[in-house]
Amino acid sequence: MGGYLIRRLLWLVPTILGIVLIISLMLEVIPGDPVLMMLSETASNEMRVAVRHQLGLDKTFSQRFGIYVWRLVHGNLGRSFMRGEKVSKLIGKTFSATVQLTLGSLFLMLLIGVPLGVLSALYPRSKFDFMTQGISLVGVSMPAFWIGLVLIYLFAYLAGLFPLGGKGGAVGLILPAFSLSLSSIGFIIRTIRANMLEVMGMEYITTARSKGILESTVIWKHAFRNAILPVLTVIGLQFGRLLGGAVVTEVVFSWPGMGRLIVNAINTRDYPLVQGAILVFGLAFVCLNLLIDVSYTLLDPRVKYG
Amino acid sequence: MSKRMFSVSLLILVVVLLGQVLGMAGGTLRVAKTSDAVSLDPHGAAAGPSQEVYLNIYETLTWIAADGTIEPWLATSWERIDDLTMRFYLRKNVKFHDGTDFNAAAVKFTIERAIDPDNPARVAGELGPIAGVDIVDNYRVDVTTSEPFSSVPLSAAHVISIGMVSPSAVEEYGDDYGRHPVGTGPFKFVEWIANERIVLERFPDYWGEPANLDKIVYKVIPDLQSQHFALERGEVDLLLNPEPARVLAYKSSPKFTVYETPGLRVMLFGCDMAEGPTADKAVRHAIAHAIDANLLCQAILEGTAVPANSFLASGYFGYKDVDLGGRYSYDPDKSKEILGTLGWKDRNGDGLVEDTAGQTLKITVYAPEGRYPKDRETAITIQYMLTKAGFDAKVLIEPWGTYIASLSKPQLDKGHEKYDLFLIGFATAPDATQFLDTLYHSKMIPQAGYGGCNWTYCENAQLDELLETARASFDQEERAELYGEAQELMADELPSIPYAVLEEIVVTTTAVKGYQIHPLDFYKGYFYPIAMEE
Repeated sequence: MGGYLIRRLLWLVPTILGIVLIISLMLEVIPGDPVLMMLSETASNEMRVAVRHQLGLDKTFSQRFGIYVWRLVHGNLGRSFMRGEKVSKLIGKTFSATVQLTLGSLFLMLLIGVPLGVLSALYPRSKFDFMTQGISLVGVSMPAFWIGLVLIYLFAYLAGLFPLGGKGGAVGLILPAFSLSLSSIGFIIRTIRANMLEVMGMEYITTARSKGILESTVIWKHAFRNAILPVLTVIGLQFGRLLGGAVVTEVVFSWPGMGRLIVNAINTRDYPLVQGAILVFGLAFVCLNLLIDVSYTLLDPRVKYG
Repeated sequence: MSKRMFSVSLLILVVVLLGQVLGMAGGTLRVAKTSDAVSLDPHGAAAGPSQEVYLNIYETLTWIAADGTIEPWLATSWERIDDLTMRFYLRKNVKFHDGTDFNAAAVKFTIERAIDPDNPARVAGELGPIAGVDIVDNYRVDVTTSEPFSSVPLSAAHVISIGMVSPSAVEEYGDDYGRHPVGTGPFKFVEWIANERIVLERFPDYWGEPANLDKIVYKVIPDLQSQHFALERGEVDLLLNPEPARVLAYKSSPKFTVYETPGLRVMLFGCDMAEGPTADKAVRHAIAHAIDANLLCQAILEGTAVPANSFLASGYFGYKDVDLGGRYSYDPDKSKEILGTLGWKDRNGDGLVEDTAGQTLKITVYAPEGRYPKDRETAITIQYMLTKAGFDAKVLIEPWGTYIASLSKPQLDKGHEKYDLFLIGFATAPDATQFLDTLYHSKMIPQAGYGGCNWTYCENAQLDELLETARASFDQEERAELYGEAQELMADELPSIPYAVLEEIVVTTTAVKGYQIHPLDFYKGYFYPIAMEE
């Protein structure tokens, strides 16, 4: 296990380099010019050349890449072209908001999705099951921004139960987290239901029941613990999706997260900010998957990494 | 209650009562903002979202009144010394928020920082040929130009590039100054939480009457629908960028006040005058007759714009109404008639015109997406209008970043097909010099590397001469006349087809008193006169 962890952590180095190289290449390929975005239309040719030099954009791609990696090794993500602020500071300020939103919606996803999934598997083809299936279909199909606007209108604007938007305490987190988690809830209901149904049909469940074990023990200890394993993978995937895909929700709820920061940076060709932000996302995603792989060994004794 | 707490409470009570007696309404103004500021260093950002905030923190030597006249501000007066020198007399007893004195050294520091050749202010291009500043004494400075330039006092009002910054604060914060702005304005900076809010508070040592408001809180609310909810529920008091479709409803509601005035941004279709069908003046005339500017302003821009009468908006010095709407009234049949005289006729009855070989008259319209109000919708509508007049029209829409880069390159290097018309909205400081020189003078034609903004490739010796003479003249009457002539000439040449002048619109709740709208977009955010009603 220790050797496995060390090997996985060592893999982080080429992964980071790969991420940086790919983003840099992509930024090189997309058309557009940060200098034109920064200066007003009335800028003179000399001004543009000066700013280009100041940003180091007159160097070749390999030189710029080398400088970036060198700075990265020293823990320096550079300064945003547009904002002039340190990229690390900008990310630090918005990353926590993004993590809050992500954790909040993951929590709701588990809180609502898991019981509904288990119950609908226990009573297949019942009215309850059909209703849950309906809910999960709606959740998966409705775009998050639309759900968000409807929630704001009903619960914040008309009822006044929640703030209209912006970051502020646990109450302010509920609506954006819920609208973001709705599609994941649908997804997780379906996954758990399918897994539970499969497990409940297994021979060892029949054996357990024939031994006269309490039905609730059979369900929760024997069936559920086995059915929940694939959910871990789903959580990992959803985590990545939530981290990166919350832009629209952030806009609707005025949530100061990283999604808006990145989209803005891409639109204004703010190279250092795009590089830094994507790198942080990439790292978060890689670390999370490592965590999930490790947690498999803890939850499922059959899985071992040598 | 302890003795200490008692005395503190008493003190607060006295202050509050005193405030009531002196008529200081106080209060907090909460403003909805669509995008976060980029930098609060006036030299550090070219975009509107930052400029909306500047004027409450920073001040300039001169002030542009709503009617365009230049008035004293941090300079009490100015005089022309010679063709290349303008002397400004500075206001005394003015302090920056950090206690630094405002004086000639601060002016020299600010202006030379803005025009630093190695790191110019993002909008320094609009200042004109300002070359430097000489200190005469502590309260007199000479601003020099590299060529005769009459608009120095106007340039001096340009807060978005030369709002006066505190030299000591710039030195202290260095690269992070944009996060710690220090000016001489009526409000000083408190905090800025990225993508969330910016807070300013009254500067008690302001050189004029201290502001009425205790505080200004800018809330970043990117979604217009959410902004509307916030205004309705009383979570904000003022919308800087209200949704056009709602303006009518706000006007008829007793809860809100709508302030509007024609602005300075001219929306236009530039024509490629160098190559292709639009190189022919008659084709440009035919296109102008095919465009229904009234429909664009009313239906597409939802009444938040007025049709353009000239190449400038009425707020610019030098504007002349050359009746573009009358000259090129909407008339698709007239377009077809003009095309007919050029040999383009509808020969197969499909509604499009063809030449003798059966080729249609292809026009490509190039437009950005998400940069100007309804840019995409406008381009698509124009395609329909052109088709009705017989053109074989097509649209090419790209995101702004790609669009502006492509516009600034010669046609051959663009990496996509050639276009004939392009959509742009242009605004500068309110003087014809900056606007017309930048967009239509032949020396601004894009070249290899970085070029200028004469994206129409307009190259007209007569126009160049009019613009150059007007730029160098110090006789305002003569300048106005020359610019009038230039607009008459352009009305015939049609390097571009202006279709709308955008309005500046602000919506407030009725509790907000004393607000004044201004045609300049960055003056729109000046909240010094505002008082909140209880």
